[in-house]
Amino acid sequence: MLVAANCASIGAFLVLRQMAMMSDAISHSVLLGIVIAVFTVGGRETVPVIVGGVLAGILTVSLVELLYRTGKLKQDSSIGIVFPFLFAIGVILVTQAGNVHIDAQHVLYGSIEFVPFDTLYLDEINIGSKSLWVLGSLAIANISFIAILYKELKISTFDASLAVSVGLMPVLIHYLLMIMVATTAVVAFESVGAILVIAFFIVPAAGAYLLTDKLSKMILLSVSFGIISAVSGYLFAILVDVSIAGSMATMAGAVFGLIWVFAPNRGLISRWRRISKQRFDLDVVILLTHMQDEFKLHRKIDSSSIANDLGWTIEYSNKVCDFALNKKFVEMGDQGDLNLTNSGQEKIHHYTA
Amino acid sequence: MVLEEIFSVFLGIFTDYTLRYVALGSAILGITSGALGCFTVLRKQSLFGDALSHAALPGIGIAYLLAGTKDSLLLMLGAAVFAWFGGIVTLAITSTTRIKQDAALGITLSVFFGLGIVFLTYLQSIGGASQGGLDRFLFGQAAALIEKDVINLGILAAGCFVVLIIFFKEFKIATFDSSFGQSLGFPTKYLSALLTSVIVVAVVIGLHTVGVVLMVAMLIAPAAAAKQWISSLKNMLILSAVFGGLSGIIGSMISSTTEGMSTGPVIVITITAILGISLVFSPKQGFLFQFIRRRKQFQNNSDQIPNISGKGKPRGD
Repeated sequence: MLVAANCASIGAFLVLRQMAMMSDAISHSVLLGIVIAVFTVGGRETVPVIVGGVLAGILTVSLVELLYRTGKLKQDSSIGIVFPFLFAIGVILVTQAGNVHIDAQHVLYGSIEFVPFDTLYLDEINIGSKSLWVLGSLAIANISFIAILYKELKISTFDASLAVSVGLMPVLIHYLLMIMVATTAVVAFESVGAILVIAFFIVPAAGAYLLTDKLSKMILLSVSFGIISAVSGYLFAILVDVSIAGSMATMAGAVFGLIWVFAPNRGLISRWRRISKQRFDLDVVILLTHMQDEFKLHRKIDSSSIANDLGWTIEYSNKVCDFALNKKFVEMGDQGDLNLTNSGQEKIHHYTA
Repeated sequence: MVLEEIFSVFLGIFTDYTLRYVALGSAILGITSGALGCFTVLRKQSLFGDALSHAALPGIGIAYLLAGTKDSLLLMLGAAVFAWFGGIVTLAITSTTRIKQDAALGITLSVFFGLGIVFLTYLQSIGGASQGGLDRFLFGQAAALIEKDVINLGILAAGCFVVLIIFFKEFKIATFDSSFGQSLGFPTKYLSALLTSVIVVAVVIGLHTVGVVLMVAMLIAPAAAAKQWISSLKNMLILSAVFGGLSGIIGSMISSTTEGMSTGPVIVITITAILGISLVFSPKQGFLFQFIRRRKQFQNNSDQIPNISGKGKPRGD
C-alpha cells in the first residue's frame, strides 16, 4: 500500500510531463546501481543500496538527456538505448557474481529473495518491520517534497517557460523529481520489482487523469487508485496463490480499464454516446436541409422518400423524422407529407451560419 | 596469444554445435530486428517495441496453459497474439483519451507484464517444475537454442523480409509522409497495422534470444547506429541489419568464452558499443569529425577576417 501511495503521488507528474517512459528506464537501471552498491559495500545495508540506485537513476536521466541533446537521436530512442544497456550490465554483473546469490528473474517481479537489504519474505507488505519503516519515511519524504514544491512543480509542469521567467529553475526541479522517482523505484523494488514499479507509477495516475482536471485532485485520486489496486491485488494473489506484484499490476490495469470505459466525461461509453448524439444531431440537420432543397423543387416528402434519398434505413429515417416532429422542426401535412417549420429553418440557419 | 584465442572462438562457430546455433539464432534476430527497427526509430515509436515485447508475456503463459506443451511455435503464436493485442490497446488508449503515447505505452507494458507474471506464477503453483522453461522468455536464452528453434526463427524472419521487400515503397511512404500516402490512395491505416505485425514477429523472435526486457535495444540500437552513417532508407535498412547480425554473432561468441554468462545482455552491450562507435566516428555526423570540422571552420574564419578588412576591394569603385 505504501509503495502504491508513494508511486502514485509522483506518477501524476510523470504522466503530465510526458515522461512516463523515463520511469520505465529508471526503474530498470536502478538494478545496476543496487548491484554495484552491494558489491562495493559487501553488505545489504539500506542506505548504500538506495544511494547506488539513485545514482544509477541520475546517470540514466543524464545519459538520456546527453544523447538527446546532441540532436542525433530522438528522446524515445535514447531512452530505449540507455536503459537496456545499463540493465544488461546489471544482469551480467548479477549472473557473474559468485558471492552474492541473486537470481536475475527476481529483479523483474520483485521477489524478496533477490532483495539485498531485507530478509523478510514477500509478505512484508503486511508484517514488514524494517521495510515498513523505510517505506514510511519515503512516503513522508515524498509527501513533503510535493507539499513544499507543489507550486513550483505545478508551474514547471504546465508552463516551463513561465517557470524560467519567474526564476524557478525547472531544470533543478526536473532533476529533483527524477531523484524522487529513483528513490521510490529503489525502495519499491523490494516489493513489486522493476517493471511493476511502472504499473504503480503510471497506471493510477493515468486513470486519475481521465477523471479530473485539477492537479491536487488528480494526485489524491491517483493515490487512492494505487491503494485500491494494491489491496485488491494482494487479496487476489493470496486467493489463487500467484505473484503478489503481478496481480497488483493486473488489478491496477483492471481499475484503469474500468475508468477508461466508465469515466463520466472521457470514458469510452460517454464518448461513444457523445459521438452518436452528435451524429444524430447532424442527421437531423441533414434531413432539414434536404427538405429545404426539395421544397425549392416543389417535391413532396415523407419518411420513406427520405430514406431513399439519403440512403438511410426506413427505421432510422422514421426515428429522425419522429425526433424532428417532436422538436417541431417539421410538421405533418394533410396527406402524410412533411413540411419544414420556422424553428426548423432556424435550426438549419444555426448550423450553417 | 589474444589473437589465437579470438581465432579459436571464431572457429567455434563452425565446429561447436551449440555455438553455431546460438550464433545463428542471434544473427537472425539481429538482422530482422535491425531492419525493422529502422521503421520504429523513424516513426518515433522506439518504445513501442518495448511495450510489445512485455505485452507478449501473458500470451506465452496462456498458450502453455491451453496447449500444455512447450512447443516453441505454439508459444510464439500466443506471444504474437498478445503482443498484437497490446499494440492495439496502446493505440486505442491514445486515440480515444487524452493520455499521451508514453503513458499509454507504460500502461500496456506494466499491466500486461503483471498479467504475464500472474500466469507464470499460477503455472508454477499448479504445474511445479515443468514450467521452468517458460522463465527463459524473460531474459531469453540463446544458449538453449536448438536446431528446430533456429529453423523456426529462420522461417519467421524470412517471412518478415518477404513482407518488407514487397511493401517497401508503401512502408516508406507511410513512415515519412503518411498524409501524402493517404492522398495517393494508400491504405495507410492498414499499412501501419501490417508494419506493426511484422515488428511483432521480430519481437517474438527476440523473446527466444534476448528476452522481454532487452528486446527494445535490438530494435533501436542498430537502426540508430545505421542512421549515423547513411541517410537513404534502403541503405540504412541494410546497414542496420548488418549491425544487428554482427552484434548477434559477436555477442554470442563473447558470451561463449565465459562460463555462465548470459547471451542476451552481451549482445545488447555489443550493439550499444557499435552505436557508441557510430556516434563518435561517423564521417558525416560523428562527434569527432564534427569537432575537427568546427575547428577548421573557426580557423578559416579567423584567417579570413584580416583578408576581408585588409585586401578587399573598396565597393563602388
